[in-house]
Amino acid sequence: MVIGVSVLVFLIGTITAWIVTNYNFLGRDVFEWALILPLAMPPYVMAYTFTGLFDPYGDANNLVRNFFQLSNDTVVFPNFRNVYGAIIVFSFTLYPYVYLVCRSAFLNQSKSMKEAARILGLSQIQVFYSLALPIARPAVVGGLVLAIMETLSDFGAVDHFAIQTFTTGIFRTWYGMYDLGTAMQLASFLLLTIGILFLIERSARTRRNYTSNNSSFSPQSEPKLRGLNSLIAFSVCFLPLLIGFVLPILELVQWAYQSNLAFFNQQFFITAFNTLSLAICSGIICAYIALLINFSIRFAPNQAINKLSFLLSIGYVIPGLILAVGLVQLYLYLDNSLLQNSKLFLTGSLIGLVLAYIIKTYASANSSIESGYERLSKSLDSSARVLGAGSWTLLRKIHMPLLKTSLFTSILLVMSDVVKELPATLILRPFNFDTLAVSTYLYAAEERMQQAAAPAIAIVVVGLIPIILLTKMIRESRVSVKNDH
Amino acid sequence: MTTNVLKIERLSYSYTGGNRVLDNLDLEIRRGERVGLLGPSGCGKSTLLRLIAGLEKPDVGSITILGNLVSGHRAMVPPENRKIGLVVQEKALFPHMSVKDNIIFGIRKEKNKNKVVSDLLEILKITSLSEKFPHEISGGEQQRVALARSIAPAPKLLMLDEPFSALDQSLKSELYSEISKVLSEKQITILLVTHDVDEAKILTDRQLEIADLQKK
Repeated sequence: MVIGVSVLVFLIGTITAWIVTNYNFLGRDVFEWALILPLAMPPYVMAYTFTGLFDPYGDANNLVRNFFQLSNDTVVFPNFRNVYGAIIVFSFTLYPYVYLVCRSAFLNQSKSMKEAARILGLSQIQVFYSLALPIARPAVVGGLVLAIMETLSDFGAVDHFAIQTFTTGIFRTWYGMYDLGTAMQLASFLLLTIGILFLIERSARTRRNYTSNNSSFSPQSEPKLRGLNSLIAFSVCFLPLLIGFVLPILELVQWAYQSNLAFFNQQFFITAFNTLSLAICSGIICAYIALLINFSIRFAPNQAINKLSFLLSIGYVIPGLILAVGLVQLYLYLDNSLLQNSKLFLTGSLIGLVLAYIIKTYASANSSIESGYERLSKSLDSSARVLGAGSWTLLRKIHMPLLKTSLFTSILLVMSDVVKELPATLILRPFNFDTLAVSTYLYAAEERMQQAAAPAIAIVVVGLIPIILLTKMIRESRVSVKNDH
Repeated sequence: MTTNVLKIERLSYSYTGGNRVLDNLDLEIRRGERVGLLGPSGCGKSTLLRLIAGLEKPDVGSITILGNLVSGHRAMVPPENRKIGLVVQEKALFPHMSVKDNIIFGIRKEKNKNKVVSDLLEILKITSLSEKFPHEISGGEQQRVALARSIAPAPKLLMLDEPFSALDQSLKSELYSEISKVLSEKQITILLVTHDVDEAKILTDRQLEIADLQKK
């Protein structure tokens, strides 16, 4: 599955990025940002919609049968409940990781370099695979590793397709058979694999900075494609968007339509309220922890704070399921031995759940605050301090107002991650406390897809918020690249 | 009562990595004196100002302001308690505050802050800019605001770090005469860092080469 996802993610991500950065064709300006929309679609939601569409009696098969007047036992589309279906689901929801980094890398590559290659006898396609792609290799590796880590960490989609993976194995041995030892062994092996991938991604990230900083050429003026060429470019870019975003959205809307909007009941609003409260709490706490840590690093740097920041930052690579299994053991130990309270303070409590979210999403919050601080001139700090501002005044009067966009973005990023997080919530939530992700999972497990539509739509809508912010940045990035030159 | 506003003795400082930029430096500035510190790029002029401001800690030596040891063996008074002013080349105006709020920042707890600000705005001929934001005014105007902001808390010593290097010659000449007048009126002790000998001669009474202050 990992090999299949890697190949597809690589092909879709690099080819679409190359087309939108190097050619002008019908809809290019829209595709440039729309191609990242599948990031808002959690793989498990796409898995649910795909079975709803392509199962023998799914909507797509029914539609074709009705249209062509075929018999009821005719199945047009292949079965998706297998490893190939999972490859499709992961590839078309995770390719934006590669698309994003490749687009940025290709955008910084120059016209003069490409022209030199053409004069030396390379065709347009040869320029792509023998020049542009090798230069962007560290970025591609970084994006690809992120997609692989997400694939290995997923629980919801593979569970729905009944595919045996590390995460489903851990969940069944631990939750179903109460075999903690085996679950821990599986978890350790998965964690080791993820750890190696994490090191590869870190190393790729360092090299990516090196290569992009060396680009000092003028930007390209893209050739305009016409006729068949324009149509081919349009189709290549539209296909991933169709599979990764449009089709699942259409199916969700179809479920909503079928249930006549009856799903907007009290239960849904309670679940939505639970989720939003958790997401807002975690978002605010996480953003302020990231702010304080980054402020400390800037104001009075010391090794301990740097190490704490690094440790918290690697939380995002730990699969939600493994994090939850580990935290349950830790919480039980703390509750039983240290707190010695008759009531469990951390185990199965909202505090324990929020702590897990903070570990899992700190990196998202930190990335936004860190880049905000990078843009803030240190001479502002010097001036404020010489003018009598102590640490608290500096933070409150100078940094916080100037970083409010970064703070807001980091809260939104955490909220989006929290709303989508399934396995950690499933295991750590208090008894009878449902979130949108849990609710979608439970309905889908019982094949009650119409009921699953409401929470699934809500998850996608919340997931779209940071994506919209990202698309805004993408649109501005092309303008700024042009202005820079 | 001491007449020295600033006294630096045997000051040494190395960048992280061990490259020594200041070595055994001595300097005394008397009250009301205007001193220009000259030297080529990279000789440690700006670093010296950061050390006096308390933004960096010296490796060895001491800095005394108005008789109080502010940097030295086991002493490190934070910048906010040194009562000095610093104007840097990039102005470092707070972008989210108006001109008026920028100037008030250093005297925000004082009762007569509005009077001080309006006087300074008038002296520096920037009254019409008081409600504008830094991005809405020109480079020369920004430099006047930065100066007003540093003068407002009535610092014992005002340090200027290449404040005019980003401005064109005609604007510089205009600012020299105006700023000279303001500084004389306020009788502020000045330490100006520049690589421009003419600028130092116009704005200061005594010019020193940073290399001459360091005992070999």
